[in-house]
Amino acid sequence: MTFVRPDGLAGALMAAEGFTDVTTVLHGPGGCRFRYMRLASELSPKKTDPPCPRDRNFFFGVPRIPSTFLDEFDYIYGGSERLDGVLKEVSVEDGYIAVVESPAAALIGDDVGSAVSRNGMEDRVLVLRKHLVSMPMNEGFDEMCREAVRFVSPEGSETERGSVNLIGLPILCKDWEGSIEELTRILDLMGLKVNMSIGSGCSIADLNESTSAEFNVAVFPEFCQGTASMVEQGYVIPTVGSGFAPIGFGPVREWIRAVAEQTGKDPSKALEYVDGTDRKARRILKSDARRASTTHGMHYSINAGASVAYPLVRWFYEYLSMIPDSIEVPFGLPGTADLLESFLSERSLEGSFTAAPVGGDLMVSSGDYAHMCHLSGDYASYLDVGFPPGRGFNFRNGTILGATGAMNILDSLYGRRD
Amino acid sequence: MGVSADEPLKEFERMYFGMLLRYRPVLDGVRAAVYCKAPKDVGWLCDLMSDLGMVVVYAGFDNAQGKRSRVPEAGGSCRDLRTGYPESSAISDFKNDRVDLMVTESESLKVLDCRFVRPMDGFMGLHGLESAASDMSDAMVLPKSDGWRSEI
Repeated sequence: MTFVRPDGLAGALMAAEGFTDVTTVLHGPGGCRFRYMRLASELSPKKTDPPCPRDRNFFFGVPRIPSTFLDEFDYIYGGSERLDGVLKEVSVEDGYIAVVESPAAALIGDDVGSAVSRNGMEDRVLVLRKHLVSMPMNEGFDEMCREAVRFVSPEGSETERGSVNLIGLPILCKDWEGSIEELTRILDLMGLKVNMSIGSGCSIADLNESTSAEFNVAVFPEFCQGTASMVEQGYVIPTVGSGFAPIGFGPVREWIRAVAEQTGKDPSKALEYVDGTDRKARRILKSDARRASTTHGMHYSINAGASVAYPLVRWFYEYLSMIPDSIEVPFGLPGTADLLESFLSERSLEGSFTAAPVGGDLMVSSGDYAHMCHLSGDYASYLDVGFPPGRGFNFRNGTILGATGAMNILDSLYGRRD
Repeated sequence: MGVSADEPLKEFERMYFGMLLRYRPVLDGVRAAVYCKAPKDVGWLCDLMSDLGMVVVYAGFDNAQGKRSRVPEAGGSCRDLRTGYPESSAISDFKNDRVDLMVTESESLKVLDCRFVRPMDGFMGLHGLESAASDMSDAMVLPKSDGWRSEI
């Protein structure tokens, strides 16, 4: 089964939608819009809009990601008029505008910057000038966040000691709101106050305050390399983290210790919170050890970014004695991938790295793909850890991060199936 | 007139010994024990272990309830068949036995300082034998105990 991965365009669009006061305009054919507008409605944090009239130009009944609806005429003569039209249609009440070009529009080379200047909207419109199709999703997200910071160019404000921004936490991750809640709790126990999460739930206006943070905390490091280095160079705000996401009890502890060491904070309360949750998990598992040991020797395949794959593979091996058959890492930082590779080779499991998935007990991947692998009969069960998400609504905190995330993963493995 | 089984047997042996070659590098020389709560015939497993180059230290059966089993306990090529052998004895003898891999369903034995694998029941044919060999081979690359079993 082929996994059709979301690309940089999806990452950029969802990053823009992660800002609460931005209307994302997709310059391209209407067909490129539909999947993203649906995803944006599902994931993005914006208020529930009043019903969008069906006859509103460029929106046509759906308030998310209006498109210029390029057609064959525009491919020959250019789509500048369409751009002018959509920029005029998006009102001041719709907030800032982020223009992203679809791959098809990028081919005809419309000058989006000139359209913005022509309409005198330089202070309201940010334009992503990179074409990110076929690039990994994380790079698209990172580019858009960097563009947003560059657009605002916040004036350096006085540093508020003990305050942090979360970076590299896209709305594309599993339950981003629950993830922020969990990380805020952990960081709070370390005496760190979370100002905002850049690209997920903050506004463009909020970015002005982002420079008051003492540190940026990287959650999924591959999603924030560019943004982190720009903020570090421009505003002297160092980025802290462990190089991988806090997933699974052991790696969460390691993440906490790394952040505490780099920020000079005391990790004991946060570690006690994780230990307490871990103790509960162990008690539950020991209450039916026979059932709990069904994971012993379980074979699984994983398809996830390096910062997710590394801690998960480690935790599954050390905590649940599970064996990876196939590890596919579509994107990630080389350092994290190296950590994963050396962890595997030390345990004679290096054959699983980049081996193709061949079926087994469990598929660990994004919801849609994992579910499809399960339905095809190749895998007995599946675990949803990423984007695109599985179908249906999520009402409970479904994060995979922190202690709550570890419990959710155990819950999915042993109990409920989404 | 009967049909000769020579050819199918030869073919089976060829496949069987081919399969053993895949798992021997990991399992050769491993000291293993089989411990079951109820009496059963684990002869096929002990034979397989021997063929894989493993040292079968013992095949033990608790049978604490003293019931007579439909299938009497049997250990095949295993020389040391310990019947009526309680878990507590298996634990106290563990150091002397120097077992690397325990095939057991007993939760008390899974915390000993050795690797373990669940017993494989009802296997038939080459697929079943390979599955058992694969499980034992997997166990040798896993941690000695599941992380969740320890205290924090």
